[in-house]
Amino acid sequence: MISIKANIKDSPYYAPIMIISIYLISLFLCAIFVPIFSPYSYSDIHLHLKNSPPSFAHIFGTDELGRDIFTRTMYGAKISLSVGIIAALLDILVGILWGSIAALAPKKVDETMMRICDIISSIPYLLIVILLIIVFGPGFLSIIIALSITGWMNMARIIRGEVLKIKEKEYIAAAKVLGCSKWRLLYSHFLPNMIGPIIVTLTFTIPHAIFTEAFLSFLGLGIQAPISSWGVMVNDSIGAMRYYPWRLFFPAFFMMSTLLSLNLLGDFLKELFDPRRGSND
Amino acid sequence: MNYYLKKSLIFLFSLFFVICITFFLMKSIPGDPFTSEQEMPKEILDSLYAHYGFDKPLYVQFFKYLKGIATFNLGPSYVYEGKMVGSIIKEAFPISAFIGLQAILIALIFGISLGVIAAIKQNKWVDRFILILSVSCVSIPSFLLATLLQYVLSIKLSLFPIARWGTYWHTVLPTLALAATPMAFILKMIRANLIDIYKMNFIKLAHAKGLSNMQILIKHALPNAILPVISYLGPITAYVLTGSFIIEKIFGIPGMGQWLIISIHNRDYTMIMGFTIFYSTVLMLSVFLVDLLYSWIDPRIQLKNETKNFEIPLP
Repeated sequence: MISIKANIKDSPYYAPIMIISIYLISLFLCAIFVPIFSPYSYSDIHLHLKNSPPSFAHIFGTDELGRDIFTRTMYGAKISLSVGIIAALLDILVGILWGSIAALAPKKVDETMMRICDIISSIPYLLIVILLIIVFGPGFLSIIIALSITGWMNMARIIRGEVLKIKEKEYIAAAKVLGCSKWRLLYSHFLPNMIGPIIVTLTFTIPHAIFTEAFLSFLGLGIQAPISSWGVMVNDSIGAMRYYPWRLFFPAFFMMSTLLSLNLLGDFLKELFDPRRGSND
Repeated sequence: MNYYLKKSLIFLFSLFFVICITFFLMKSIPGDPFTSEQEMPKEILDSLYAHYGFDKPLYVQFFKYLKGIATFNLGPSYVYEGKMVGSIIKEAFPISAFIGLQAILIALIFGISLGVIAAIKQNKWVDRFILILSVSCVSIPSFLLATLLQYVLSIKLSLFPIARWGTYWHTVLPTLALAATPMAFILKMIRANLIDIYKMNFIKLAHAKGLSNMQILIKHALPNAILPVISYLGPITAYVLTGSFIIEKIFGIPGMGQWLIISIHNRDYTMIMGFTIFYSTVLMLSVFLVDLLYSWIDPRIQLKNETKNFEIPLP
């Protein structure tokens, strides 16, 4: 971890990474605290205030049912970020288990496990997600289940590749000679050395999940009213864009800036953790 | 095992897997298309069930469905009476395919040329600008881009028709909205590849021979940089076909995506099943063909016994 820290400080990406991190952390804090402390609730309807433009009382304006858009956007941030983070963590958990077991198992088992991986990833994931959501019924939980069923293969492949690379190193042999158990080996020797690729994949998986949630909400298969997410809010306001632009602008702005930050962060981290690329780009 | 044989087996197995998943998931949904608010007399329900074969055990229905697929008969639509799923696909698919292929073509042309410009002008402001463009293209969801295009190009500037289907001009905006993300991916790929290739010895040799920069680019660097993009065509096709769900909804185009969305809202199970299987077949077939094409062009691939990590294109 020390070397990673030193890497970040020396790289030309230090400033952008810091800016992006500050933005993401403050968004995170807002997503947690604004719904708690806001005088408005995300679901209370005030029809006499409907579609009012931004003002001091409602800094982002209100929507077609008079709900405060600032509160809803931050509540939506909470939902969208939770979908992204939980789905990404589940992907990583399954990916680490599947990938490391495949890499450490005998060759026949490894081949079979990777073939299963290939077959599942050759199925168009969005269709399976839609099917699963039709079966489970739309909602927060089914989106997460559907995303983690369809999303772990990439992670498993990356982990397998890393484990295969690390397996041959001397320190692993040394740990084995000292009598390390397989789980301890995985936990305290393999994992710390794979942290780079894991973080990079995580930063790309989160925007992917947020995107899918927005996509599904746009089709009416996502988060259901009155709960808000960025996808739901954009979908609700896209038809009113010409008359009440603030209803579209704020959720769309936060969704895009978050996706942009995560994608950029992923790009920068990839260059940092991949010395071959990092030196020449 | 022979490379081609192995690929074909995986393809066939995946196809079968998709058909199984789709069929049993759809059958596991409680209720059926004929359950509605008003109670229907039992005799009518029974005859409906007998007509659609619901009274038989599940495995009989499954084999009947498999046999149907083999003869391109995907069954009748439950909601649109007298319409077969196959005939709806026959009407709608050419529309989606036209927009999809056009989007892929545009993504390839612009992605490759912008990628080349970015690589040649590496770290100059042109490069920075193109990279920012590509990250924005990846970060903007297609439905927002589509709405923005509609707003700016057809409402404000009235250059193109807003929506619907008819003349060629109707296809321009949907194509642009679909092409943006794959273009950004291709651009990034070409740029990274070219930068790597320019460091290799054969490029130095070409310089030493006194070839002009243009000749080196076109004859030596570009073909090697484009090769990996071919392997990426499969995921791009997947992106374009699934991306069309939303694009067709926004622009009101009577293609496959629009029909699928309508069927999902109508709970028209045979339609959803037929469409899912047709989509999956098209996608997996294109990935499979691209794999074969790629290994035929670049035989080194067959020796590497590993699957490449595609970054999954974003919806």
